[in-house]
Amino acid sequence: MQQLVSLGCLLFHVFVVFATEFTFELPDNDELCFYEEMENGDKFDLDYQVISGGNYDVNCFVADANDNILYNDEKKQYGSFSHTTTMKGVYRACFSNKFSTFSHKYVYLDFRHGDENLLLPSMTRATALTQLESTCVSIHEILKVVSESQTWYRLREAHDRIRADHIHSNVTLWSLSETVLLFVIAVGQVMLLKSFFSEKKGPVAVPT
Amino acid sequence: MTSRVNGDSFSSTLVVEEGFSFKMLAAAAIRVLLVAAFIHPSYALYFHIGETEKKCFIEEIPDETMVIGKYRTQLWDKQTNSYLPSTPGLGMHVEIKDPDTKVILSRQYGSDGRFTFTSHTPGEHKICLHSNSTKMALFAGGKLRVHLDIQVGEHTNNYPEIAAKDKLTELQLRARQLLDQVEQIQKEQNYQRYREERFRMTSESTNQRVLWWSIAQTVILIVTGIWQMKHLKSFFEAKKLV
Repeated sequence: MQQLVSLGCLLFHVFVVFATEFTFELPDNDELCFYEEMENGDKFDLDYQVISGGNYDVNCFVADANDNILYNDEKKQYGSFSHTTTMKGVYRACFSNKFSTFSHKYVYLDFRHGDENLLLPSMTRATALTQLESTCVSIHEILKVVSESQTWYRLREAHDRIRADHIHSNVTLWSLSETVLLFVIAVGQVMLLKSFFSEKKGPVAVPT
Repeated sequence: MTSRVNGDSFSSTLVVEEGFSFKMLAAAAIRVLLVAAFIHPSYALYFHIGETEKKCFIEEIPDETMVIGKYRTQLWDKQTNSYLPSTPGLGMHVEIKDPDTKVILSRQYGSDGRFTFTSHTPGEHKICLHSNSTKMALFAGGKLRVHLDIQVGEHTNNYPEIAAKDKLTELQLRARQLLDQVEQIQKEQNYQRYREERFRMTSESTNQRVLWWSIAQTVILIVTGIWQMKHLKSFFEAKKLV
């Protein structure tokens, strides 16, 4: 009997919960959509940030099952969107790089959907928490904030690091190509000048 | 933030209870069936992938961090104009590269797969998926729907399982969760220190290169100028113009 009751509690307290974060590549002139099936009254949060590529901007829009645009932002470097659904269906979040002809972008995406799940299925919210338990819950919430702040700093650092790496490799490339260019121009100038003063026979390459 | 509840963790917590008589087993089996009927595992976030397309996801993680990825594929069926719930014979090739672009996992999985790896170097790990169908005819439609769920660090922990294995009370389990969170924060901080060091080395190396290049450029310019003048002077003297 007790087990049936706990099973009943289990079934009523199951939330389909989901959270994922990753960085994906968005090729130039491309659009990438992520879809999620959601129930009525579900709460979801979306955070995105452009880590590298071009002008560090991306178009993002979120549409619901009936193609109503819930959120639309053009050329933003980072954005955040929260919403509680009013209908059941497939919601989509699309990222577009169509305005860029040759820079592919790396975009970080953090998608959270549903309430936070219970640690143990038996931890129903029906009974009041003891002081110790509520302390644990507050510490847990604070640690989540710390973790999110770390993620924010990690993304900013990734952005700067990628730019610094590009500069580092570009400096070598530029200096080598400039050396070659210098020599070509120096020799070319001398040759051209000599050709002005050559006899009427025509420009003759004088051995140096 | 989330530890997902799915059919597996339910069955493990239920089976821990008293006794192992046949009645208990039968009751447990019925419970599992009831539970499974109400909850279907839906790794929600999905995207579409073409036939030969390779989709890569980057996870920037500290070292000794576990990553669990789960995917589910659905094939477009032209007859019913919808996605089939499951298609045997469909496979995905999963390739995971570590920050030094060394391949740490390269395996073929079925249409539903689960891959796990633990990072040994901190940095950007690349998880690449591309379809590798055993029956090419299946791909006439060309569109494949892939449900993906990637969990990192303390989100990979299955707390009901840990509670059952170590026989922890609720309070102990909460403390355990906090401990895992703090450990992950500490790993992330170490990673931050490591990143800052590398960033500083890159900047200093760039600074050195720019400095040497400026000196070299000045020297080259002076030498080239002198050579040009000398050469032209001797040329004009030979032409008896000077």
